[in-house]
Amino acid sequence: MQQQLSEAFTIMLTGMITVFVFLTLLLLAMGLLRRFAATDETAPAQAPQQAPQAKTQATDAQRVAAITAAVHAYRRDHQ
Amino acid sequence: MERWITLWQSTALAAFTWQQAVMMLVGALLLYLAIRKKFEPLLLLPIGFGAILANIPLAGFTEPGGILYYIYVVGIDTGVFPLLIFMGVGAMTDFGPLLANPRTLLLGAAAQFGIFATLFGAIALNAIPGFEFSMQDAAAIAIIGGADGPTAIFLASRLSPELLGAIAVAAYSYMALVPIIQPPIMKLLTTQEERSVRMEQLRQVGRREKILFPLAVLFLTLLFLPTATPLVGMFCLGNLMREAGVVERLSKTAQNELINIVTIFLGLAVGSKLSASEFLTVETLGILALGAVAFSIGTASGVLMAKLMARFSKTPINPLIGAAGVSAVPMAARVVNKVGLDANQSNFLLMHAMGPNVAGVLGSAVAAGILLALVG
Repeated sequence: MQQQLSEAFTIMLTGMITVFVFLTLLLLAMGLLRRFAATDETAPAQAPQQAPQAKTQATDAQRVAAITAAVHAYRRDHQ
Repeated sequence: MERWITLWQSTALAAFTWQQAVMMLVGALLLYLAIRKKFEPLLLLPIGFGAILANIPLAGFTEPGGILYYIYVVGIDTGVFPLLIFMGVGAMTDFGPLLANPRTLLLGAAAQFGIFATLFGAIALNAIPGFEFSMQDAAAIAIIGGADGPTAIFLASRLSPELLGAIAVAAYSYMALVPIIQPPIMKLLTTQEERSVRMEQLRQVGRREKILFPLAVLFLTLLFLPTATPLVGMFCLGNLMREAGVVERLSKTAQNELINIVTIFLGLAVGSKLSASEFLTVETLGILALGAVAFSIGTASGVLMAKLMARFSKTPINPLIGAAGVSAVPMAARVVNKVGLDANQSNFLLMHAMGPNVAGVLGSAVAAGILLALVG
């Protein structure tokens, strides 16, 4: 009984310390993760703001061209 | 006349023992708690029904050839069901609040003291005649303090299968009782002023950070605590499926259809362990008592750790969020929010409490791994 109790006490102590050490390591890893992820994410966040406009202008021009061509083709066929 | 006797002997009435009748009443009580009181109905309903089925005389549900026997052997003996559930839980978990405030990880660690203190308590209970818990039994009982059903079932199936029924029932019942058990302890350990502390808004967490996090957790676990990798690994797989954004179908299946199907079978299999010979013992009473102690100690140590952190922190910390360190996601976080609102009408702590809450899930999985390594 006495021996079992002291064994349980040791498990309690080692267990609690291990949980803390492990989660502290994870805490440090999260710090690194944040730094690593942050450097990558600021760059693409700014870029898209300009890009979409240029893209829509380009697609608009293409679309107008396509519609114009279609209208011309229709008129030619139906005269 | 002889035929009449044969027929009589094949009815349940003749074969009933009073223990079986009592266990059926226990099953009915679980059904009542699930349906009427809405105590963790997803689990307690199939568990209660399984308990009734398992105790039908002559039907042989739990003997080789019976369906509950096979469900148990396939799902719990092998440890497959709790792990599949854990994958689903991973797919449902948003680590955003934890990543935004990583310090709350320590609150999830502190609350695990409930587990280890209960291990000690279970062994101390051996001083009372009638109790004979081995170290394995004590570890399996202690994990109730992790407030995490699948973890408790997984560990019990590894360490002490004969106590599994009582441990699972205690774990899920107490998880349902979190709103009743926790608030008095939280109020006892904090002042009105501490409870109304406002915390700073959490930062936005980027997608890349969320994707890399489960991988980082898995990496650390496989290096330092391989015995925890079944639980942590499945959890991280589910979480990665959620955050990766490229396998939405798999993520949805893991957190809906798959987890629902497994829950039905898990409940039935746990119910099948509620047989009279295994459940109607003094040890069950001990397990129920120890479970309540485990929850209370976990809550208290979480709150005390949060008070300690608040003392050294530059940004304000409301000590209530420490109580969410016992997992029980998301119930514990909701309780924190409610107690916080009682103290300060406009103080919403829910998102702040979600950090320690998911940290508690990781913490109890880690604690389970440690127990497996030490006494398994």
